[in-house]
Parts: sequence; structure tokens; C-alpha cells
Amino acid sequence: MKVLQFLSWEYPPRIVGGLARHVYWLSRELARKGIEVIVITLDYPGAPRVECVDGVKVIRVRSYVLPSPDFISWVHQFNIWMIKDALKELHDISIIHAHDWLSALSAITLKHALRRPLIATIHSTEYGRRGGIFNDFQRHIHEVEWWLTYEAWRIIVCSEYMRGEVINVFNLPSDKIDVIPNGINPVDLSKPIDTVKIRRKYAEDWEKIVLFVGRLVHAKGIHIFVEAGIDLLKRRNDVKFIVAGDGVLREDMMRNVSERGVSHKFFFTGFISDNDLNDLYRVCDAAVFPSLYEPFGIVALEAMSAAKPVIVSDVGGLSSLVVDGFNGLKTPPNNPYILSKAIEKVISDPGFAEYLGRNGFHHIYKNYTWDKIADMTLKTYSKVMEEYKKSSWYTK
Amino acid sequence: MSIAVLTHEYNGGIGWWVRNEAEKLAQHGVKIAIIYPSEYENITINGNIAIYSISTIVKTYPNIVARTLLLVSDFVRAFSRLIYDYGFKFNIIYAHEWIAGVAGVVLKSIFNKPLIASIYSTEYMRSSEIGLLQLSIRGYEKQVFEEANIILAKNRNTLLSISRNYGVDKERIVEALNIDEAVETIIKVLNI
Repeated sequence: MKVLQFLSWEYPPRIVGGLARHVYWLSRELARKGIEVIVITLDYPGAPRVECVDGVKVIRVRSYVLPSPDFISWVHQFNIWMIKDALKELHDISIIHAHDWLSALSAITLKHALRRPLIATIHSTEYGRRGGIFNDFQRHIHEVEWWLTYEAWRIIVCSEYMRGEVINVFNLPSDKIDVIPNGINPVDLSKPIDTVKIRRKYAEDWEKIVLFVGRLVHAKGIHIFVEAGIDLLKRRNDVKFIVAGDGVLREDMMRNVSERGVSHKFFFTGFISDNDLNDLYRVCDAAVFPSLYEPFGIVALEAMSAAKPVIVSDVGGLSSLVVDGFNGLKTPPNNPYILSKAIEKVISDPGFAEYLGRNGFHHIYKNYTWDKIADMTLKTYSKVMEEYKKSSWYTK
Repeated sequence: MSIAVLTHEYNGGIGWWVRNEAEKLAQHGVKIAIIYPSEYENITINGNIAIYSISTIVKTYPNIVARTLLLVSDFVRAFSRLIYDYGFKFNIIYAHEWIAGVAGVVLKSIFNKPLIASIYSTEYMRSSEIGLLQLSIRGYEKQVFEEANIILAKNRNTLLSISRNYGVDKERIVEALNIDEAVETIIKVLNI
């Protein structure tokens, strides 16, 4: 089986969010299982136009050919080059697999041109990201997402929460949707590290490290994390809050903690490498994910794979990932005061923290390795190919 | 012999031209499929002429460039259906103006058929403003002109603009002031 895994602008080394990693690891694991995978992505300075990465053929197309009046027109433009530049590679593919609206135009066009089945993974929706549709730009993206789900043979989403969201937002029939979670690369706990040295990069020896990981945007609840931290600092001083990640709210948050006289208790790392992040997971005392919108919550899984206690808001994918009091704690979304008490509970009781971390660790290894995720994806591919071969569209 | 005619409008001046030109070509025994965007999806076949109105799912656009690019997919869908479901064997892709021309360029690369572009005016002629939108449209027009095997310019000013403003070799541009001249050129290309 030859599978074309389209994606938008993201594939390493071009990394914007979690999509690049998802496509990288899934395509690599599929290739390991004997599937021929082609990934079409955008160019990146220094990256070759065509290369083979871990058994996956990667084709990078030109991303800035013509001027574009806005972001949406640019996205559709690079989709056109995806079709034109990569066409000669695609005639004998079996399945087209698109990720999110950013590759909708090229995926749908090739579906009709080549008469091959299209599978779409919806990682999140515009409606969910914005909390509604409020202007014509958002409406356009929403309609393109709807179009993609309409044209796709099957839809893959990462959680039961997202299944509900795409059913409600796009009026999709439930039986068109497969839930396949994101996989993760567990933090390698066997790698020796100098815990004291790493801790001292971020905190004093007597301080507990409470970690936030994610884009610094409203949906990820960074403002809730900061408020909870400031509230907790009123009760105890032995805590350091580490914010790993970057985003539009970074400056606002830094100004906030500075104006309130606690800037020495917050450490904003900015964009952080995978190695440094893994080190942070291993030395932290608790990891907090107070998202307001979270289709899946891959960073929470990463923290759990490091056997760390997680405290999450009771929303989206996080809600189904964490069993409250067993492999983490759940708090109501958008409530920094309850969150600060939950953090306090975990860092005050090392035995309880270890219990949560251990249970989380086992949960991750049982359910979220890329090997398992690739097997589930292959089941969807097989089901689609079986149906396709019986359809009037089938061409050998 | 068969031609896929792509047009972004089936009313107005271009629509009038497309309809009358199709009838004249049909009289020469050419099979024509006119594909245009509409509010509903429908195919009508009458003699040598098929009229395929394509319905676009996406209704909201930030600008004409985004609309043009998404139309590519709708034109490809119609083109593919006409081949696979209705047995058309197209010899030529014939696109009116740059909006359908962009789809023509993509169809040419997918199905490897010659492209004729029919151009009534250029962005240089239409707009004195120079913003990102105008630069973008000029860029797409240039792509269409570069990929077209023959460009039918509908007046002298358009011919000169395509040549001077876009650097297109005059040998590929034919002045077709009326339908008879356009049909004559197309018949030559079809080698009937």
C-alpha cells in the first residue's frame, strides 16, 4: 500500500506546533511496518527538496512563489504548488491522508483527479479554537474544514471529545469517524542525567518546580497558570513556576508577574528544544495543563511518560485522559484558585505525587505508543481500501 | 475532438461569448463541455454540448484570489467526472480569463493536455492600485500566460499588455476580436 500523507507547512525541521511531530512519527512508524509513505510539505532553508527520512519520502514544495494578500490565500496557494510540484510522484498511490484544513485544497483536488480515497485527520476545529465563528476569515476556514470532512471517506480524530465536536460542528454522521489518539515518544527515563545541575538551571534547591508546557495563547490557559501560581505564592514561598513555550501572551504574562512583584518566582524559557524539555519533565515536581480548549493534550501525556503527576483542566481530551485522583488531578477550567489548591496538594504530599505519576506512566505505555497508533491507523486504511475496491471509483 | 471550456461566469459578456462560441464549434463536430460555478450541481447534455454547473461548498471568501484557488478543486472535480462518468476524452483545455485560467494550469499539469487561455483584459489594465491583491492577481495571470500554449487576446490593448507587462512572446498570442476568429484559431489547434 502506498500512502500519501499530506500536511500543511509542518514537517521537521519546519515545526510550528504538534502537527509536524504527529506526521513525522506516524509516517515513520507506518514505513517501519512496510507501508510506502510520501509526505508533501513546505520548503525550509537548508532542507533538501526531496529526501528519504527514516524510510519516508519527503517532498518539499515552494512556499513563497507569488505574493498573497492574506494568510488564507497563501495557504491555498501552497496547496496549488503541492499539486503541481508533487504530481509525478503520485500516480500509483492508494490513499490520500490529509491533516487539517491547511492541506484541504490539494487533498480534495487530488482525490478527484486521481480518483483515490481521501482520509482526513481533524486535529482541531476553527470553531473550537476560537470558541465560535466571529468573522469572515474564521467562517472561511470553518467552511473549508467542513468541505474536507464532507469529501473525506473517513475522518480520524484524536479523542472522544473531538468526535463530539466534529459531529456537532460539521453535522457529520458518527459512523464516519474513527477515534485514534495521538501517539507520543515517551521521555527516556533510562538516559542518565545530572538532576541537581538541571534543577539549578531553573530553581533553587529548596524550591519545588511546577511546570507549564505549551503555546502561550489564551486557549492553553497560560493566564490561569500564572494566576494560580500567584495565588499559591500567597501561602507558600518554596515554589518555582516554569513556563516552557512561546506565544503571543508571553510579554503580557511577564509584565503581569513583574508588576505583581513575583517575577523571581516565574521562569519563561521561550521556545525550548526537545532535549531540554525532556530534562524539565524529569526534574519537575508537577506538570500543569490548565487549557480552556484542548482536543487531545499531548504535553500532558509526555509529562505522564516521565512518571510525573499532572494537574489538568477538565476539558476536551485532557478530561478523558486523566482519571481524577488515580493518574492525575482534574480541576474545573478557568478557575485559578481551585488549580492552586490542587498544585499545593500534589507538591505537599510526595507519596501521593509518586502514586499519580506511577499510574500515569503505566497508562501511557499501555495505550499511546506510536506502534499502537500506527496499527490503529492501518486498520482504518484497510477498511477504506476494502470499501473503495467495491466502489465505482475503483481503478487498478 | 473534444474541448473542456472553463469559465467563472455563464452570464454577462463572457457567458454570451462562451455560449455562442460553443455552438459554432459544435457545428464543426467538436464536442464541448462548458464548466462554470453556480449555486447548484447539474449536468445537461444537448447534442455536442454539455453544460456542467458546479456547486461550491465554500461560500465565504476573504478575496477573489482565495475564491479562484478553491475553484481549482471544483473545476478538477467536474473535469474528472466528465471523463470517468460521461466518457469525455478531452483534447484541449480552454479557460476564459485568469480565474478559470488558474484551474486550467492545474488541469494541464494533471491531465497533460494543451491549454488555451482566452483573455479579455489584464490586471494592469483594470486596476491602477498596486497592493498585495493586485500583485497577487498579476502573479497568477503571469502563471496562466506562461503555461498557456496559445493565448487568445480579445482586443489589441490586451494583446499589448500581455506582451509588454508580462513578457509573453507575441508568437503565442493571437488576436481574436470576435467569435469567428477565436473559433478559427481553435479549429487550427485541433487540426481538424
